[in-house]
Amino acid sequence: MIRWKYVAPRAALLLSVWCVVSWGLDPFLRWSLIRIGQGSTGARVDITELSSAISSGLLQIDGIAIADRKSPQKNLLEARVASLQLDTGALMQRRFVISDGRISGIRMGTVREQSGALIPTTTSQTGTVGGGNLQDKLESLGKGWLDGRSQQLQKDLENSFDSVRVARELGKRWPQRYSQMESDVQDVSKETEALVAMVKQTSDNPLRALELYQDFAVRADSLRKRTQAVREGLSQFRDQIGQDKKLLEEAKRHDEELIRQHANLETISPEAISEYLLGRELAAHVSTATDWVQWFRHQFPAKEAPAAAPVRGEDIVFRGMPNLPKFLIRHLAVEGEGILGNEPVKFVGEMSNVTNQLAMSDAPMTLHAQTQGTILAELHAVRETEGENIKDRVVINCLRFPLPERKLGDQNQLSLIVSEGHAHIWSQLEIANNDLKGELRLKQEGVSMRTGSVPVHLASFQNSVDQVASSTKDLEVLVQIDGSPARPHVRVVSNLGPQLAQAVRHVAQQEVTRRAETLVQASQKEIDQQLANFESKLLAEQQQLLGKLKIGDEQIQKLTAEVADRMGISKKYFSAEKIIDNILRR
Amino acid sequence: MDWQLLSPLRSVLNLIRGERTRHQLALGLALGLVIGLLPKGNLTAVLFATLLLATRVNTGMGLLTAFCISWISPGFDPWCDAVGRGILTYGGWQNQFAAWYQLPLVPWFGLHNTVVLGSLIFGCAAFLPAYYLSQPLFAYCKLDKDSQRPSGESAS
Repeated sequence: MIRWKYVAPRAALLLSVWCVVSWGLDPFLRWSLIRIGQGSTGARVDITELSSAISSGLLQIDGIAIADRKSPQKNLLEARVASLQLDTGALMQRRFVISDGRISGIRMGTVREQSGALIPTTTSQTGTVGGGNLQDKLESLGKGWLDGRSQQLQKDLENSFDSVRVARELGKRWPQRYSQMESDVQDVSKETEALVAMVKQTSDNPLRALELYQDFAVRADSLRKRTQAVREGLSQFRDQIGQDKKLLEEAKRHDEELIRQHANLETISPEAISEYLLGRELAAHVSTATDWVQWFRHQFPAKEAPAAAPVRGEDIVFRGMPNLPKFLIRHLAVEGEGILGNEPVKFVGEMSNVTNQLAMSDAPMTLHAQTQGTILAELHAVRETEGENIKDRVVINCLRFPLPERKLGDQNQLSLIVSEGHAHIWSQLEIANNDLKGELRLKQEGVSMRTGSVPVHLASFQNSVDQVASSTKDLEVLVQIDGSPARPHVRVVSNLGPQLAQAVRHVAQQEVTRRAETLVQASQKEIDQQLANFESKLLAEQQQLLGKLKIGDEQIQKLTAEVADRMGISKKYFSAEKIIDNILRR
Repeated sequence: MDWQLLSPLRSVLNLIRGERTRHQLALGLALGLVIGLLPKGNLTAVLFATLLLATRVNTGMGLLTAFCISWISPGFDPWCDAVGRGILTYGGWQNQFAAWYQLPLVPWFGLHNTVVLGSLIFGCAAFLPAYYLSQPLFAYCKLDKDSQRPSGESAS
């Protein structure tokens, strides 16, 4: 006999659990997927409907919309329906394996009705991944070479001219030397006047006069020697001026050589011109590619993210047992439409072996997609393990990428207008250990170019640039990329660069030489004029100084004669020692 | 209001507060101890929880014990981990473990985890001592139906 009192409550409990699982599983799965999606993308994830069939392992998700964290009013990705076939056998083994799946109606960059930001401040906090920086960097890479060149040259030359430096030194040294000599001449004059006064004050007392004359003789002798020294100094100064002028000539020759070096425009690199002209255009391509790579690496990190909650114990992998990843998509077909070169394109593709535990997987993770229609593009991405490291390789090949008529360069500076056409774009990026390495090649055939603008101060470029623009039939660009995905470094090489650089060199050489010569002529002229003025002034004043010295000499001779008369000795014997000798003889 | 509609709820409540013999209380406590020690999120814990609900043990005592032990059980993890690791990594049993592990649903029991296996062993080892030692305690505290029965009336 059935004990209903015992069975009924337990049956009711089981029934309620069954009801909760049956009705609540789908909402619970939907809620879980939204939470997981929002946690990994940092933006709103919407799922219209989710239905599951546990017995068959089929999961169907309708109306998926993943908002773009950087622009919340747009969707990063939208899909009409996703049908996923769960491997129930693997599920029994506690492995979530999607054996086959299809995501249809994928669209990217669609507009949202509601903001996709999780919190209002998210957009302002997140910023760009690095593409914005790259864009700015690429745009400004070659920008400085044109406007900076001539102005910088002027400053460089001014600071580097030896003649200017020597002239400045002379301009300081000569007046100092001259004033020193002038001071010496004044001293000689004063001493002469002092001697004159001394002779006039001589008393009649012979003993006192003897003492005074002896002193006079010593001072007169010293003054004569000093006068001679000053005269010789003046003569040396004149010689020094001649030597300094030779030094100045040498400095001028050095400056001319410097100008020739500066005017040698090997320093205008073709890369700088390429970066200047093509930086803006290429920045978008490169930053888009690196942004996607970064997003992918963020979603599927090389190493498994640490668990949010502390893990208790360790799951042991038994010997001889395959260590399978906990989450794996064996095959997933994708189909949708996107925007490429401002044109909508349809694409189909497939992903295989998608997992966040690639080391446990026996095959590399791959993504292959290709467009259908007028724009033919192909994307192939592979992630594989090399020992403990993960290596990502992305190859994009677009055979006919439409490019509109566009202006290369800065319209306020030098710019070229390139006709519309189709380009072949090929890019390969490799990332291993956060080291990014790759290149992007762009080739537009049958292109026609014309000069957009030339800066006023470089108007002489116009003809040369016109010639280069009209003679260029193919535009070929190579962008070499290295660094890290967050901070890529780029180097741009194009066929425009060498051609323009050659043309610019020719014209710019003349321009720079003309400017430099004008500059040096102006400065030399000023220096020469100043030196000539100073020299003529010096010579004139030197004559005066010499005149003063001559007068001083004459006065000394006259005084000496007068004193000798008073002493009653010949003037030629007049000197301090001879006076004493004379007295002793008497 | 038709009180008959609430009869299933009343039955569930009776399930929790019923079964109050000394034996049933001790069994509830012992099962709750095992459940509390085990890490949750695996079928082993679900199995013991089902056992608690499906058998005539005191469910309330079991749930209360499981709740309290769950709070302190991470403190026993180092010992549980050592015991579980010792067994799971024993060379001679690897092939057998691997064969069991590949059976359907077995991985969901989580017995390949060192702490789950260690906790299970500790829980099973503590089951009988908990059962026998708790009975005098319930009698002393007069929590069981036997102690509350008037003297002279025997237990059914």
